[in-house]
Amino acid sequence: MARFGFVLNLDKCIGCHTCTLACRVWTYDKKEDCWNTVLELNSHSEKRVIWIPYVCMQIRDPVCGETANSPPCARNCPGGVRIYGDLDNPTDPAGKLVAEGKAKPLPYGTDKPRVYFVGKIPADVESQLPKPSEVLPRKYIPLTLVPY
Amino acid sequence: MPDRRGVSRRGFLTVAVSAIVAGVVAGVGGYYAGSSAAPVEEVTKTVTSPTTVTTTATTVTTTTTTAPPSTVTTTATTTSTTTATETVTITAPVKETVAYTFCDACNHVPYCGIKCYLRDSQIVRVESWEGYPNTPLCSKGFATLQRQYHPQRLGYPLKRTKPKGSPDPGWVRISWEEAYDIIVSKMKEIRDKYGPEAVLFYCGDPKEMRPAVSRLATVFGSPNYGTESSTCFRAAALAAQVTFGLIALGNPPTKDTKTTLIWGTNPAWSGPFNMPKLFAAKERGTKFIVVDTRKTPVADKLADIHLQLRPGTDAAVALGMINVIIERGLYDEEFVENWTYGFEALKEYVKNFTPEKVEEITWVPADKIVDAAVLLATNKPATLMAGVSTLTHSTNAAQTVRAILTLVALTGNFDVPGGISVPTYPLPFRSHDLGDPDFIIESKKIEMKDKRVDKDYFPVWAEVVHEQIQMNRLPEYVKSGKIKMAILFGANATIWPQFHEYQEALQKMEFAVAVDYFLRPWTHNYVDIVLPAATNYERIEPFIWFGRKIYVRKPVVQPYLEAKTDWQIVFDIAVRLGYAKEFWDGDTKKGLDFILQKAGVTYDEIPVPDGKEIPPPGSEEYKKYEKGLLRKDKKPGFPTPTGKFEIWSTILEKHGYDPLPVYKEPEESPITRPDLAQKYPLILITGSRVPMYTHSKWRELSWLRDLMPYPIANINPEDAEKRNIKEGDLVVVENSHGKIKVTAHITYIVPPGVVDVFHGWGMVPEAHVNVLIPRLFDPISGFPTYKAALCEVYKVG
Repeated sequence: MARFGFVLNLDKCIGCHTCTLACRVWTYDKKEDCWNTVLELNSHSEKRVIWIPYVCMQIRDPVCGETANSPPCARNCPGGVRIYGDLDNPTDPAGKLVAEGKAKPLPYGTDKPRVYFVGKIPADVESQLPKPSEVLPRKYIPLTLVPY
Repeated sequence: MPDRRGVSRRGFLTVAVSAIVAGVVAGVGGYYAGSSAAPVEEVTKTVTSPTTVTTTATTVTTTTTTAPPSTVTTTATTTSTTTATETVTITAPVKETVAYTFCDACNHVPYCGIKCYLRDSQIVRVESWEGYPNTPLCSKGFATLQRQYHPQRLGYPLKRTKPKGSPDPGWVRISWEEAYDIIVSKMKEIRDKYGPEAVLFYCGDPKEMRPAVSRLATVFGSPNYGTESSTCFRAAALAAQVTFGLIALGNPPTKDTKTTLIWGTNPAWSGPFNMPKLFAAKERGTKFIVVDTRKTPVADKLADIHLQLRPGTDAAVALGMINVIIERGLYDEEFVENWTYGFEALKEYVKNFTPEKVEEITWVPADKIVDAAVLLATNKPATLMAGVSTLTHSTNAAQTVRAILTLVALTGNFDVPGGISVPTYPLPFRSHDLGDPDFIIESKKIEMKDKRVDKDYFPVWAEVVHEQIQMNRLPEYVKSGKIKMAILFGANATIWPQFHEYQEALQKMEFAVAVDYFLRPWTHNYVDIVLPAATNYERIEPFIWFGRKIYVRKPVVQPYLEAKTDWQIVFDIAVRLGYAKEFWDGDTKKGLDFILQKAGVTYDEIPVPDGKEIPPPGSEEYKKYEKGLLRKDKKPGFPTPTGKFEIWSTILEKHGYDPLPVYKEPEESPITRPDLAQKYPLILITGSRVPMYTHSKWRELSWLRDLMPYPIANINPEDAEKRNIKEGDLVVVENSHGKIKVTAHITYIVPPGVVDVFHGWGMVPEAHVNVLIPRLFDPISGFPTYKAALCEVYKVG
């Protein structure tokens, strides 16, 4: 059985939050929480910042429902960070990275990981990645909510 | 980390609860757009949750059901073979329509493209317009959906009922007729009393209305039309003009580019649509030199060499690289010999800028200066992407850009494939930020130049920037009695350094009117009338083009309540002033056709969303200066007084400024003002781009505010530790001009010694960083020093 999910190329994540807002737009329309954000984390060992998207499938199935091809968060990503596909199928671009052992799982709250990453992340960041439940979801914000 | 915090210091979530209530109340007024939108294309798409239908039958039946009234235009047919009661789950196809528009979330020209999904004439989702040149859309573009249906959008013209200076203007709703009558009679009154030049016309953000407003200024007889480009793009453009006579500040890499020099810009956050091109170039093996004080995503992900310089010292880095290139004989001798003016003087001048000396000035290690210079000069062609409003936010603004352009030209990268180039056959109109010269009637502006209020303050600007005045001396223009009235589109009175002086200037005027999407007290408390503007989802004006391909749009939804498009407001005022003929009897589309006819098309002939390509008359040419393609007289060379690329600018020389692209220390720096630096040892940069806001825009959108709920100062961990400042602490940022309170964000994005505060917090007055910026201006361009100030930071309490 297919195991759909994401492989994220963290070498291309620029912290722009386009994915966050794409998710926001698709989830508000169903009155649901937003299941995407991007963490900005300091690496003290490398003295630099790294950006890491946190994605619905670390915890649950996508709310957007647009999982046939490329979900809104993936198809609108300016960095082309997100490869969506069948992680158990080695002929699928995402599954290939998993099968070849190039992709590592991000922390997950599901029985099997469904969000992997490739790319260099500093060891001190990797060892301290938060649990997805500490980060997601971002609460539902209605279209017309005024923030102040 | 702002995005991992729960409740903010400023109570974002607490406030939000009461705002939900406010939102519901405000919502009763019906802020959803009208129903007779003009969808461009219809698609039937399966969306929303499955509908459960229960059917009872004893034999084989075909049941036709209709979806519940909450879903739209649906007919679902289900065939089931049943012998008893059975639940059949079907998915109802809900009819959605698709439409397209341009985004005005930031201030790019040309704009990005938005694809809109509509149900029942309401836009329900937006995303990138696939196949459109500027794509994908960014976070801010997505969030324009929230602006569209924002409960606080302005829906009616408003008039103050209390005198200026009252804490509450006492806004009351008036009709458009009353508003227009007041505005037009005031314009006539001021014109009769002081002359038409006493009326200031101004465009803030976005840029879409500029040509119309500029045309009205000209026709009315006032050369005093200005824009926010007085702090943004125009100084860099001016620098290019006084160097080689053209406005060309670089372009993204093409397949020919070997090296890309990204200087003071972070397209990851200021223009994410550039990133696919940049990553593709990286994969092709293009080398990247990134010059930026901050370790931005672009520096982190793309740079082969990152020059992390002290803010305001960019020209010294450029001169250091030129020094290396000349010393080692790596410059393009043919170009220098035949096409430049002033090389020998430059050669002499840059002797002072040895890599070691430059390291001392700029913090950039000498060997990195050498490596970057050698790479740029030998791995060719190279292109430049320059941050027009970072390089120019110091007192050496124009010369900084000139030094960088000189560096690129000396290395033979001007107008070659893969280098900096200008199109051979541009469409015959000028971009909307400057305005087409025929449409804005630039010839008449030049005739009126003696009435420009900026000419005595910024003579270079007044000479070469025909289409707009330099705005930074607005308080002086008003105090001297030269400006008595202002017509403001998308204006923010707090973008200026020491902005209270600009608020006072507005207040002092006899009359001022503002056009906006929202009521913004930090600006509108100082004006007399506020008019509601239609958004990018509600207007057609203007069209846009990429190369030789033109795109237009149709209104996606009807304007909110009584909002009108900026162009329509201008045209309506013009007609009432008696300029019906000059403004096509108020028909804005005919105005657009006036421009488009120069390319042989009309607005209605251009299909949405495909756009229309106007074939070029010939093939692309390079080294156009050799072929007589750059000058009006068709002679070879550049359109400058000497016909050369003027390293030595004859225009600057004429006005008594240093003709060479010199480095001057910022007027307030640790070197020029050691007295101040003792007390304020950190360098302050302001307004560097963030992913979720553009300048002062979008604090009113909760989807974006969720990502940065309160004003922050980016501080390096080393500086924070020395001051015992922790993530999330409330801190004071202070200098000799003032102090603000913001929240500390500890990050390696900034190097030690630099504090980075985002601007535009008009609604949080104690956090507005422009109180820390002095009114010190670059004498050539008139630009303020947003990115080269001093400060100290300490914890509150």
